[in-house]
Amino acid sequence: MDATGPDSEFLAPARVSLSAREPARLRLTLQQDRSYLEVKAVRAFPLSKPDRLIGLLDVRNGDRIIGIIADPRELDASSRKCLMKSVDGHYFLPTITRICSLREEFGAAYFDVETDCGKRHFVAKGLRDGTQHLGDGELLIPDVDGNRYRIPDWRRLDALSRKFLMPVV
Amino acid sequence: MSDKETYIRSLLKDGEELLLLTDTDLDRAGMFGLRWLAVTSERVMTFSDGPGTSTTDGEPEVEVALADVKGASVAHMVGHLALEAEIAGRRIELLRGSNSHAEKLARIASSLTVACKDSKQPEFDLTEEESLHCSECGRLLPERGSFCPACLKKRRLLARIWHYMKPYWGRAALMSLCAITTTVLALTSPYLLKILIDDVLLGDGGERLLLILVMVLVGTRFAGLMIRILGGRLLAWFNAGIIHDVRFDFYQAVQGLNLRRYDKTQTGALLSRLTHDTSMLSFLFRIVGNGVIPSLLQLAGICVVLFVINWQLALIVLIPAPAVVVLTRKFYRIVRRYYSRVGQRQARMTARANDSISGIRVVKAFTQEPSEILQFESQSEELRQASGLAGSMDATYFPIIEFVIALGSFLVWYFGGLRVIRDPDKMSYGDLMAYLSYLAMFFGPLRMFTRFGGFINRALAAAQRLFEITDADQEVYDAPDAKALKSVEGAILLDDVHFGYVKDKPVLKGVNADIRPGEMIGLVGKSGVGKTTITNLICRFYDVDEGKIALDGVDVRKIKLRDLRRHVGIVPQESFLFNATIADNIAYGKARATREEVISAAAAANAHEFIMRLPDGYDTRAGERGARLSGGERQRISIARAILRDPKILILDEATSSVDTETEEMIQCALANLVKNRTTFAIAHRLSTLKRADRLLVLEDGQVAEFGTHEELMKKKGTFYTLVQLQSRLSAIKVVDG
Repeated sequence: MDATGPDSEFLAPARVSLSAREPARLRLTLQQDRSYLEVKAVRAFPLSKPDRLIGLLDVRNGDRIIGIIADPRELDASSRKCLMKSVDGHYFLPTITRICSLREEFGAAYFDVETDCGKRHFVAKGLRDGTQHLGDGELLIPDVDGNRYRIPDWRRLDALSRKFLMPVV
Repeated sequence: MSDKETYIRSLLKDGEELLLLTDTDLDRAGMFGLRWLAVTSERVMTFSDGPGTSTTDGEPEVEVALADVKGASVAHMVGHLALEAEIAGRRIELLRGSNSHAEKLARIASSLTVACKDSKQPEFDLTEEESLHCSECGRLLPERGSFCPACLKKRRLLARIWHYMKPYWGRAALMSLCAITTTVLALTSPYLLKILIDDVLLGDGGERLLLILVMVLVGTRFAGLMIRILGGRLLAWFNAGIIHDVRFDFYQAVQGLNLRRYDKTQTGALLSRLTHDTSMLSFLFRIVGNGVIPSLLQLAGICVVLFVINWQLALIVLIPAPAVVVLTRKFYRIVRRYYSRVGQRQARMTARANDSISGIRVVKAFTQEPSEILQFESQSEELRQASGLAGSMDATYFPIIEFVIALGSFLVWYFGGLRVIRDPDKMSYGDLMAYLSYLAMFFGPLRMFTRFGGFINRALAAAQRLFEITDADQEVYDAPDAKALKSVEGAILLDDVHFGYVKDKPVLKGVNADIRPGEMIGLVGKSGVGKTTITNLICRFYDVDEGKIALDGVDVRKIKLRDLRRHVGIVPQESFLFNATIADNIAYGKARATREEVISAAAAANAHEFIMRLPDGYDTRAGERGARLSGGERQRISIARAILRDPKILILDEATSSVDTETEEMIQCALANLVKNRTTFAIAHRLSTLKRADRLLVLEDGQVAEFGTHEELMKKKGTFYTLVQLQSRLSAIKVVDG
């Protein structure tokens, strides 16, 4: 079966050409087919496979899915750059690299952390119930505003951070 | 005035006015950091803080003329959002913020859009409806608009609890008397022991004194027992009474809660407050009554007695006390963390096992038993390690505390023993034994305090959570000038209705419709377009944000809420049956309905026949633990409930969405009986079911796209026509697929 045939969910990289006037809005040209003037790029597996399997949605047609690019590395350099810039801009999921302090009071957890996006203070409600375990030591901690913070593997954090997380892991 | 504001004001031209200066938490590079938005009477600008963009020399990153802005909106992305301005048909991103700034950015977008539409100068009101930060200490709150645990006014809270205790003051006084007597009796025993040793065993009191002393010891112990039983019983009723009062007030408040509060609070969380938090409060009363007060009295009593008998030795006794307090607190915290991890791992393992066992048919069908076993084994192993470690910690730390306590008694043995040997006149052997008894009684309560300190705080927070609901916004049943409404014609006017469940996501954006009494209106549109929202507003589950809804010419907000709802009947999509008999369920809205009326309603709803076939007929228990009724049967009971209530306005929300065609026909027949002479709003996914509607209200993007009869709309070939064509094609495909 041709996984990138005309009726497939997957788009053949050779047919895809992407350009952008603004990162959030891509223009897509499918060779020998048609062009889409406003396209949004989203991840099919934002947590487990963020750099592969990127879907393109037709914004002017109610976010209808156009197709999936299985591996952006197979696109031409310019298209790949546009795509990754767009998709990176669509997601914001800071990764916690260090927990400087974690204080629990009355069921609320006050975090003071360092992330790949800078330092942050936040409060999580119900640390034990709220923390999601995604397997292999990966954690997702939501705060009271619906922001989420990711820990790719709590076992790889420093000793102090691990100590803070002990009650939940 | 901040540096930023000073700087931005310095950029203003003559006559230019600063209308808004606010910040968000994401900088231009998408990192956490301050970014500023300034709106002046002439421009919209953004600035960053940080290296190279100091507050004094940073040039605007984005600068657009306010006159060019045709509107503004918030683009919701994953984990963050962007404020965008519409300029010359294009959307320009102004700045981004995390979800913590969602409400603020939405308000700014809304103010800008309104101002652009009306060609006015924008006015911004960024006062948060419910603050995220504590107004006193500034720290983040565990829940928006909730209380700050750190600033919890314990005194005020205790006063509130005292208010509940007041009706039981007589019982409380008697309990206090019992506690004091128990303490006095408990303190007597070691003293009697001293007399027994000094005067009988080592002295010349003789057998008679021995018998008297033993009798007195038995007597004091028996009296203590009786008083403890009495105190315990008094406490049990005292506790039950207060908790009943708190629970009742809480439940009354829950029933009257504004629906917006339900949107924000999960029903599970409310139930948890009703069960868990009341239990915590009850436990608080029990440990305070049974443990804390008697222990406090005991500690105070022991201290007095020890100092009276021998103050030097009393000081020695107290040497290990601070160490015991500190060690117990520290060890308890450490061990609790380990046990918390055990609890977490156990919960995860149980949830996984529960999943796997509940879905055993799927597991077996896909031959996944080995993988399930493997996963369970790995989780069980994790739990094994956590449990072993926690148990080891427990086994290590608490014997250390016992040892420290024992050190105290060794000190008493040594120094007390020296005194008994060197100066038996000042300290007898009996004194020493009494001391050791008091010592044993001293450290128990002390350890208890250190362990329960944290618990008492948690229980107080639980009480606060309960009072939070008791004090929460209640539905306003009657506005001061609300009118009673005895009879209703059923004319409904929707006048420029704007509404959103959340401020930054409007659902209805100016809906207008004039509905005549007795008309049947079909509400049509894609899911999420606001069909159910309109019906929610008519019932006044929510109030409109702008515009008004009028019933017979009167704004629904000016009608007594009970009167309004008395005239509205709902057949919801998911028919909810209470855990009561079918008859009770039908008569839910009319408690005094006769059995004949119930049967007539059931017959009109095409439910009578199937009910009569049930072994217990109308006495069959429905609901969660009741008979297994099909979706169609439950729906017809729900219709019968609406028929019996005899409302003038009827809302049918996808009443036939979850049933097969045959059942749908039966329900349609039942509905035909129901809609006669009533203003009806029908929402249906299958557009064919709306043919009987007098007019159809087609919603698109929160506004009325079309409003007319089925025929008119089909002729018009607009949105409704397209939707009908689409559904016909889908039905054709389904028929071909078989």
